[in-house]
Amino acid sequence: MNAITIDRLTKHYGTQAAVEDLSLDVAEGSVCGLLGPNGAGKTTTFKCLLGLAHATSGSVTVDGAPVTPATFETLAFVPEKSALYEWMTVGDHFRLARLAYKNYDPARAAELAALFKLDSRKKIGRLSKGQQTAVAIVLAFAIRPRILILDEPASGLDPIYQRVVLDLVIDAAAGGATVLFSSHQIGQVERAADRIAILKNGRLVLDGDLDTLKGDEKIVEAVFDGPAVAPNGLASDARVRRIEQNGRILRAYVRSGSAEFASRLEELGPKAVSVYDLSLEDIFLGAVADAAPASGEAT
Amino acid sequence: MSAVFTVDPRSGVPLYLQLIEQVKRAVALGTLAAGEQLPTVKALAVDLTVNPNTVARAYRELERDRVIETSPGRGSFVRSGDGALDGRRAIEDIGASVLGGAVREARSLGLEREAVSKIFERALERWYAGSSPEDT
Amino acid sequence: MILVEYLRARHAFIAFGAILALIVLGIALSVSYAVHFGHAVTNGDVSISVGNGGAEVHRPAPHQSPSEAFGEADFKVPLSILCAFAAFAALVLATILGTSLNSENDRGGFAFTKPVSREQLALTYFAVDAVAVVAVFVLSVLLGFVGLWIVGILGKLYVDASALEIAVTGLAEALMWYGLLQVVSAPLRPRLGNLRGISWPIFLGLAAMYGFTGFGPIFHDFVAAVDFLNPLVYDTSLHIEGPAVTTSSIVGLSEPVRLAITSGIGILGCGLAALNWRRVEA
Repeated sequence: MNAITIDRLTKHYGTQAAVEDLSLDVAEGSVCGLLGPNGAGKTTTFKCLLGLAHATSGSVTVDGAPVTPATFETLAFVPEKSALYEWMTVGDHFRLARLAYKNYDPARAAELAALFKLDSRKKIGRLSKGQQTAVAIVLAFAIRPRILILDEPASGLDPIYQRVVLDLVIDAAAGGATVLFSSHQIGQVERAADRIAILKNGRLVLDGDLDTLKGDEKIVEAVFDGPAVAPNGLASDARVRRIEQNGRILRAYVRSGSAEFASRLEELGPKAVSVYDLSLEDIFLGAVADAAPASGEAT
Repeated sequence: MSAVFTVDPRSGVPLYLQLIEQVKRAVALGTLAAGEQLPTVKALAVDLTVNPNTVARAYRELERDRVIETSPGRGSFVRSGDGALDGRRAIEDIGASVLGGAVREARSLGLEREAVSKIFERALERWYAGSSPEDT
Repeated sequence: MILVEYLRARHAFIAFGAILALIVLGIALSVSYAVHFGHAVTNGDVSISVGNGGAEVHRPAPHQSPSEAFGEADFKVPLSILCAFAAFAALVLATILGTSLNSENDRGGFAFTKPVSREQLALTYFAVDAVAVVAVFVLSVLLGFVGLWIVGILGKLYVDASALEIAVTGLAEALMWYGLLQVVSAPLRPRLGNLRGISWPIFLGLAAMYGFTGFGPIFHDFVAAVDFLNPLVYDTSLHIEGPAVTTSSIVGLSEPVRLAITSGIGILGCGLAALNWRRVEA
């Protein structure tokens, strides 16, 4: 059962396409990390998902149905920019949540507020950006949501609190919650997510299970005695992202089938053939640098 | 828990594979005793700060590989008795994997076979001094 | 979410109420001072201007000191004056609160990601604002009592026939202005939503030009048409001649008709604002 289904979502602002033909499923209990450069369409995707923006075409459903006010009893959202009321205090916001939500847990809220060292008497306008983010996070987790949508939840937080947020996400996931979050902190995504989706210029360029991606995405490198030579058909193979030929070194960035490519390169009689693993950061940078979307074209 | 697991999320090796390797290693070395209980998926995920589904996948594969067994309601335990992981063979498997990888690395550095063999002998001398079956 | 508007309205009510209190007490204390310590007023006209629409008190008795003027047997203070003042205060608060929907539009959807629909949210905000406006009306009347008491003429207060009309048409006018502000500002981004300040000179200017024929018939008709949506032209003005209190308004319509138009437009405006708000993208 998919908790979140995004089906061919397209959102244009005037002539500008913020999101183009995006399809993504997030299974229940899964943690999906949304990555992409600034302006890639992550925030717009969230807005369309939550009903804060109206899709130009395509659909978004939560638990199989479009989002309604009732959905928000169990769906919590933390926006990137603080949406709290500067003239109200932290305590006012807690009171607000208590009145607005059926599932608000005051004990949990107090526990989390203490964790982030929040003073309930302070006005939001007097808090730092990081503390404002912390308030929004506490409010979100205090209702024990089944679905969490987080847009850059670490922004403004120092590393200690970033870790706290990571722990909260993992704890929620361990409790069966579904999490969809965007982040520039690739290290965090690497830990918390079991699924990855990478956006660029409003399009999905890569998505899949993180462990599977790491197992598949590799660099196959061959070092030759003479000038490097590529086997026939290597460049046109759909599984090859791109090829770098530099003097005596040939590097093929492949989406899958690294063992097969390694043996094909061996046949050319190079001095050495190696297969290198890629961290998520490498995978991300590679996916974003490619001009082609996930349709399989290689550069 | 007597065994401490560490995983490196930044490594290109998938997390669940790292975890499987760690558990197998611990069982082979005896730091995880036969019949000993493993942490729950949730506890381990929170402890390692990694995704719970990743931990669950590792546990599933370990169960498939007959390294651990899971009973609902009771938890996951290291297999003991018949069919349990043969400690010695597991160690040799791990050793083969490590050494094989080292040889491959050496080859990709461009070292000749004889050079690798010489280096290997020197390393044996260094680490197994006194237990060599013949004098060099 | 009702808490948000409650706090916002309460804050405005307290701030505005405090200012009103200061003004009323200030006037009352200085008049009281003049009454007790003042000398003869050479000009016999004692003019009291209160609120919008204007209220003039003509006292054709020259060379009278304020205390003598106030001491005369037939000097009375109609409740209408207090109601006119209170209606003005209610109008001001209504315009202050009239962009309450608009103020939610830049919050990344804090209000829009709660388990309450936007229509429900809008209606809640309207209700809270309405309570605040009525509360400030009552407060102003009470402040008026206090002011009169300080001057020493509370006993001269009487309930005249026009008081109710002034109060009801005044509140309906506030509703109309509020509804117009909401329907125009609800779909806008907050930076553009600061219409509440601009609405005053616009409506005042248009009201002043009502019936002006100096620029020709086309201009006159145009102004008359636009002024249909101007709350100020429906305003009830007070005229006090001795014991007689009469009312009139710029647009020559009877009270029930004015009431129907102003409250109708106000309610329609609020309704349209709530519906339009659904289309806002946060």
